Amino acid sequence: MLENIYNLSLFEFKNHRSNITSSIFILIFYALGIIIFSFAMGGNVYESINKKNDILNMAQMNAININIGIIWGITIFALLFYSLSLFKEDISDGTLEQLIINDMGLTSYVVIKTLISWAFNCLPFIILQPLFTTILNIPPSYWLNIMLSLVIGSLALSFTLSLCVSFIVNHSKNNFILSILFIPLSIPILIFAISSSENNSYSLLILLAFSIISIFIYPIITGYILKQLTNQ
Amino acid sequence: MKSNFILSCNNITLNYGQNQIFSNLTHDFKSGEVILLCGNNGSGKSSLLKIISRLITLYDDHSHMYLKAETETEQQAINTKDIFYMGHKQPLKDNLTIFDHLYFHTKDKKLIDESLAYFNLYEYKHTQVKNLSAGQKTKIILSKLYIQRTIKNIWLLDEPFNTIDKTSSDLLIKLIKQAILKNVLVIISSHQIPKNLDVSTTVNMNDYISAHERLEEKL
Repeated sequence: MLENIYNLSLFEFKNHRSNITSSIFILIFYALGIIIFSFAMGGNVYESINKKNDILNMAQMNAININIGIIWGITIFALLFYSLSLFKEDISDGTLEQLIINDMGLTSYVVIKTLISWAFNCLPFIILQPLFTTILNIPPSYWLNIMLSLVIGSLALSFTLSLCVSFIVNHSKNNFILSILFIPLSIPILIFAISSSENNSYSLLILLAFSIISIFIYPIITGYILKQLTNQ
Repeated sequence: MKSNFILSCNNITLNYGQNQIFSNLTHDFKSGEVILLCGNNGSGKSSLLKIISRLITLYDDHSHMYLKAETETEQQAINTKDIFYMGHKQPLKDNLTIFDHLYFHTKDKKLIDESLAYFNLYEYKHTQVKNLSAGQKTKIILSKLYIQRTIKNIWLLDEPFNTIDKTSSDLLIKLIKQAILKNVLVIISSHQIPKNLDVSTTVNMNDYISAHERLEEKL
């Protein structure tokens, strides 16, 4: 079993590495999104923070909160982007059939696939957050919390997305239906993710709970749905 | 189950929605035999292979499929780990090399080289799949069969001769002949079967098309 998991992880890693351009496109999309919003918001906040030696007034706090919301909004769109084709190729080329025959549990397949996909597509823009938060004029004291909440929150969102994708993978209008399915499910995670980005440790714990539930429960359901898809 | 065994199909009926593909298929497939499934398009040849490999689950109470030793009556469920299944779909990733695909199935690099040399693919070992022809892609799947030939005792091959050349076809037949000597059950679904392959039993899937379908065909 462990050998199977290692083999599959290695294979998925090589497969994602060979498609690195799509991960770069996601990163470019993310960076462009941040830059566009930073232009739209203007640079006033940054100037006033500098002038008053980091003492933030209410208006500045609001601006920071809005910018954190922007980061999460773009994160959701980036996640939606790369998740659309998460299982599609494996179903159409028969990889999933071979995994079933070789008694490789589809739950572990979903976990591996989602985690590696997350590492290739999400992790780069999480690591580059200090740069993006600087562009959005968010003070450095927020960086650690934003990155931590992004790691935990994006994992929860990735597993929620993989569940949604399994529902719609064979549907012709899947882009539209995926958004309808995913966005309502992402709202609770998003509320606590934004709150924990704003230095709220309780929210971070709740977000962690969401993430643990997503990692342990959603893949079981996703695996079951994928098994049913190959049965058609 | 390594000794002589029988794969027994009893009253297998397959429906897709309202359409009945075949009904009451009853047959014993013995190890060490080459079984040929023939029949018209849509007669359920590929579906039967999928049923055996448990990719299609039967919900019909009257349909049973099990393994038993030739000398015993005790029934065993089919373990899909013993099955090598080659379907219409080719589980290959365009950007990965042939070596990457085979390394997923074995860490024995010598065995990978041996399998590639057997099907004349060695020079393409580090070539990406997207740069290969359809026949070469089929040969990757056959190289996987070569690697797993000693651990799989039921081979389900769906149209294996379709895209490969005469030389590769002969090599596959040689592999099949070696396998049946080791009590492997080989079930092939094909429209065109090479003359040098000795088929033990031919199952005509048209015989199991439901009476209603036959009537429609006549009309």
